[in-house]
Amino acid sequence: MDEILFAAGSGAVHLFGWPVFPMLVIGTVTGMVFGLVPGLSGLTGLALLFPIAIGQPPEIAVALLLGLYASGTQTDTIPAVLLGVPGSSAAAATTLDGYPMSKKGEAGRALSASYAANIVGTIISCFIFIAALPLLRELISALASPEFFMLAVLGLVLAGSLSGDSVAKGLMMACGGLLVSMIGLSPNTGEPRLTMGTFYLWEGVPIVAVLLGLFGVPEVIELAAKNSTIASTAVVKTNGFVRGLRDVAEHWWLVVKTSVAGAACGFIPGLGGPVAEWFGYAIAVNSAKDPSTFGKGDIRGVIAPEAATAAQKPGALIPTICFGIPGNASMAMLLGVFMIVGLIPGPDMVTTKLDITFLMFWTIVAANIIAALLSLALQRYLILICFIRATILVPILLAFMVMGAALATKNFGDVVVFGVFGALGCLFKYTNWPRVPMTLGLILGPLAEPYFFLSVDRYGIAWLWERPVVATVFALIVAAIVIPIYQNVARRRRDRSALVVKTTHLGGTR
Amino acid sequence: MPYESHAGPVPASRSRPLKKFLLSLGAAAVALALAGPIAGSASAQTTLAGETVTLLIGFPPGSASDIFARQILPFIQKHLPGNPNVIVDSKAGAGGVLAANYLYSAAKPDGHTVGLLISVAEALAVESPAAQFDFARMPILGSQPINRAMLVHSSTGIKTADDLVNVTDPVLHGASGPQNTAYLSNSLFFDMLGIPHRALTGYQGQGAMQQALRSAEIEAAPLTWSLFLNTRASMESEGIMRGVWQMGSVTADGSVVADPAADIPTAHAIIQKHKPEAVGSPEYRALTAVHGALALGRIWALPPGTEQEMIDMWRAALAAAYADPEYMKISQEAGELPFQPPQGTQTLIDNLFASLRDPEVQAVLKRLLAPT
Repeated sequence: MDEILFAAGSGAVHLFGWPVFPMLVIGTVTGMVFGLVPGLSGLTGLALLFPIAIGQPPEIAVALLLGLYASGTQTDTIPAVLLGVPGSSAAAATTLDGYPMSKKGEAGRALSASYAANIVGTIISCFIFIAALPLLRELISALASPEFFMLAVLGLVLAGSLSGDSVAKGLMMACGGLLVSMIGLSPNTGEPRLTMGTFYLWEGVPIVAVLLGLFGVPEVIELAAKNSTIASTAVVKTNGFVRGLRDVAEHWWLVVKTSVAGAACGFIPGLGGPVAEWFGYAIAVNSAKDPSTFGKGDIRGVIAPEAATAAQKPGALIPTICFGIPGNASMAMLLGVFMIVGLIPGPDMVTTKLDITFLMFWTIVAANIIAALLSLALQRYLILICFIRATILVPILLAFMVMGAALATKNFGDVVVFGVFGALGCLFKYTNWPRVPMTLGLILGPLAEPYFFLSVDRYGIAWLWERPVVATVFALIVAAIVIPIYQNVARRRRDRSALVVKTTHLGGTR
Repeated sequence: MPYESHAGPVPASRSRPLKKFLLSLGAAAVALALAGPIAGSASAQTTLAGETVTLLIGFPPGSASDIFARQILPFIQKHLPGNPNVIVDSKAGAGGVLAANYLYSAAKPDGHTVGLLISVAEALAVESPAAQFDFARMPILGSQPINRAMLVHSSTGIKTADDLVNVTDPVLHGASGPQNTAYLSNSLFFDMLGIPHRALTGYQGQGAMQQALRSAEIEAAPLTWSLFLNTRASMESEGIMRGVWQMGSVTADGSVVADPAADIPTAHAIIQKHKPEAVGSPEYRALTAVHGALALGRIWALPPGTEQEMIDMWRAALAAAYADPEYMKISQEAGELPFQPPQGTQTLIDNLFASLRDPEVQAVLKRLLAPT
């Protein structure tokens, strides 16, 4: 125990040393910019900072890159709340309640609650893993393809059953996303599927372009059509800061629950931010006495997914540094750099290099706090985006989105995909079909499909009933479908009886 | 009076200089266009100062190829004449082949674009329809071999290569896909040793395969050589899995050598020891071809039609970058194999094509690639 405390202290000493701390600030600010602009992701930012990190001592590389990695989830909320466009795929659930709050003039409150939830989520997650480091090693060894497949399906079903007014519609959109995810080379046989004779589609449809199209275009079109500002009310409380903090304190138990869930999602390789976020949102909706306020600007719909996505990030660090198994896409990139600067995954990271492991956790916590403070300081100006005239904002946003869609690959095909999914996004928005399950189908499809084939290939169909984790997750999946349907039916019945009472009272005028 | 006489011509005199200006502009443009190629080649001889050079890779930012490219990039910049600005451009697609197609048919052969082609020899080896390029027409600058270690789970009882001959239960080995070198290599290897085996394909990357190995879903899986060297000690002390053999690197004379950084034998050496009768068989030659493609894992090439002076300049710069003491330290720490100069790379390519044209080798590979 003394040894762990000593390492924790020595990690903190590293963090505030020169030039580690300035590097942390540089990384954090870069991450904030990349999180803020929809279409730019932390991944692109990491690629840009790699050349600087390589060749530096491990402490500096860690501070720079993990600072960037951690701060993106702080600022991706800002466009999600203010514009209804998630800054990254891990802020999609935040838009559901964050954007309606912004329309009600509560953007300041939503943002400060989000920052606080991020910080608390990160801290909780860090401490969970520091406490449980030795046990988790054993746990992760027990998971195999069937478990990974079921967890991916759970993520998909949660998004499908929670993000719209109808479970059936949500699940259909999730299946639509799965279908789109099948475009490209089959992961199992290597055959091109649905590629329409082009090589461009061999790698599948680009997620960033799809996200920007589905979520960005409809909002911008609406903005242009209305020719007004994003906020429908002229009175905006930029001073909702204290209110937001109080919200987080009031819902502390929700923050703890969602942080634990998010940390688990980070720890399990392949799940990552989007799944963590929907887990968080699901917990918030399911634990609410009256879930009908969700989607209309409920602060819990902002706090829960933000705490979960923030908690996911330290979680993803563990399998990466313990086993060399990257917990998410950013970690896959970071793993390469860690090795170049001499941080080799394995038991060393929890024994002789434990101080560096602590430095990694402290970096993520510190980056979140710095990003939150900077965001708070600049929030007043960021909120002004809401009050820029549409005629000015629309072209800028569109330009950013087109740039973002094709930035990573510089392929014109990405612009076409952006256009196609932009049109689909408008169609879905105006016909009231939820877009988020489709996105998750697209993200989880490439994970679920090979795991499904591998499960059947390896275990026949016996994996469906022989494995306890699979059975548990299956029960959760059934619950995730049945409970919302039951709630819908119950609500409808309640509404009807209320209506009957009303109509008898008013003498049948309604 | 003079004023009146001026009144008429004024608009004309105003328009004449404009016309003259436009004409001269046109002439200058024509002159520039004509002089362009000459001036370009003249300046290229000496320096690329102030210009931008593009390093084309076939995988997205953050991939192993991207990290490798960014690692060596400053040294290329340092050793190119004039120290131009060097940027990485990823044209990801079709498993790295898209970048090779682009370099072959779309990139300008002006020495300002260089390709770091990843796993494209593999695509040629399995006759991927996407591969639309020809090594014969592309100036080759050299290559960087890729080696892999094969990890085996402790439950198999295999601790050293000598234990392999005692195996009776089928070995489950993992690979990313049925066109992947690990799948081809291991299937051929187990077949020749007479070990029953079954391949599980579809793992999305090394992380997924490591996890599957850890949970004993599979019993053998490949691991990138550098990652193996760096995690070997902790892996052995943990005791769940260990590296038992390596793919090694195929040399220009067709022999396969083990990297001495870890004392595990190559697949070829194990067959030579335990099944000497298999040496020289179509399966053995197919194994050499598959590992030969791996030795050509990263090929440096220029677009077809690049002038000889440019080719020489690039070859010199690349050789100097690899020989830079600072870079050598980085590459040694990362566990990279040594650089293969242009001549050796060309021989490896020729050998690969010769063996792939062999009908017996073709038959073996076709049988393995046929959908089951």
